[in-house]
Amino acid sequence: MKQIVVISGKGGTGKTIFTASLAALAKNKVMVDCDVDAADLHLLLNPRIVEKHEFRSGKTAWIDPALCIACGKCSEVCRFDAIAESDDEFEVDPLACEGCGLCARICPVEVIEMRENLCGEWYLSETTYGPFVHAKLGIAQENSGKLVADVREAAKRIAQSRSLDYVIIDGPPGIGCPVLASLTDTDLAVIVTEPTLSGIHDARRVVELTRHFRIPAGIVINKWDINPEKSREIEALCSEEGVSFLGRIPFSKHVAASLIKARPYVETAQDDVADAIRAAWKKIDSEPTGKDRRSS
Amino acid sequence: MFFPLRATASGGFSWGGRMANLVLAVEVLKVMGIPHGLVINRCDIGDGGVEAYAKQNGIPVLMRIPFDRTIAELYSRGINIVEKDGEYAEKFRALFKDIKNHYETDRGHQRKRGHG
Repeated sequence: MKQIVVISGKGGTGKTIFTASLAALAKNKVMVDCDVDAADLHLLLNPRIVEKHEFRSGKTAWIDPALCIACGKCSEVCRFDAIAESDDEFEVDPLACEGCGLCARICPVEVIEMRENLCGEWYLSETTYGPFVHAKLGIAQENSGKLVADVREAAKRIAQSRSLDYVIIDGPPGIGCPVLASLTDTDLAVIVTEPTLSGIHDARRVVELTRHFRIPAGIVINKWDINPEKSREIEALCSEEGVSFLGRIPFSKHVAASLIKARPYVETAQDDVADAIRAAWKKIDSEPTGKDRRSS
Repeated sequence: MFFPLRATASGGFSWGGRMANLVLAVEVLKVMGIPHGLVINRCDIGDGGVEAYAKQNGIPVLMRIPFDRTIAELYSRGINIVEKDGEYAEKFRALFKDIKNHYETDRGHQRKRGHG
């Protein structure tokens, strides 16, 4: 079983559109959406939710207004200024509370409860393209890295129990915590970038990240023809950094317009964009992955 | 604070993804109590869902930018469209003025409520 993660560093490079097409092209796989902060892949895969799971993480203080004696000690000790007095009552601002629990510890009448946060949900779904694990982080909720880890664990179990060949992961943009959680223990990182200054800058950072984790990486250039010169620069970067060059996809207005069909692009069109995506998948599929490389 | 929203998702989506992420962003701003307005990029692609959403939720549309390959090409070279195109420069100047007005009106309201 190979775990392939698609990341980009910079947002808006076409990562999710590319990943959705892999859902249509790769056989015998489970798809995973690890962009839990702003999940989008489900919009192109039309999932039918089979299982729903709660995601709980961290705690928030809650003061029982009926029993509170309004001494104000909790408000005094709170380092996050999360407890304020209004109309002789002390109330916790859940956005400011970090869940440290000092207020509950110090409360002389012990009426502060540390309540576990319901931060989001994750789902196991079926699609025309096979099983799909995805999630939804609640509004203004934290700890997306842990949710990513949970989602990936679920996908791995499915891949093992159903003897699947691939786990294909749509990673989040950036290089922060949820990206690390998406990247760890994968066999190949596919970096979808674009020939722009910021695209190249962020691709470099992502390449550094993959090297740090010793994960083999490859680059796909999307919208390559908006700047052929910068595209050549990215190809040069690949050979400098020992990263595989996996292909380049032309810019097309049809891609954005096709999204209204809510299906993977390769299923909606037979054009040079679809051909380029197919070619890139063929290359990815034949790439030696981490484990093969280590054993060779 | 006044927060201009950009109606393109980080996936470059022009309909569902853009719409879904826009709703998320608006929900966060509502929770945090931050006033907001909308800039719609690639406004000529899609089914008009973003416009309808803005109208239903009373979110002001500050600017509409049609699909334009030239912007992408300039951006790829690190050139800001407002430095090359007088028409866009004017549009962005008007946008900034508009945001400033919203900001000042908002502060006025807050002062009246005694929070400013």
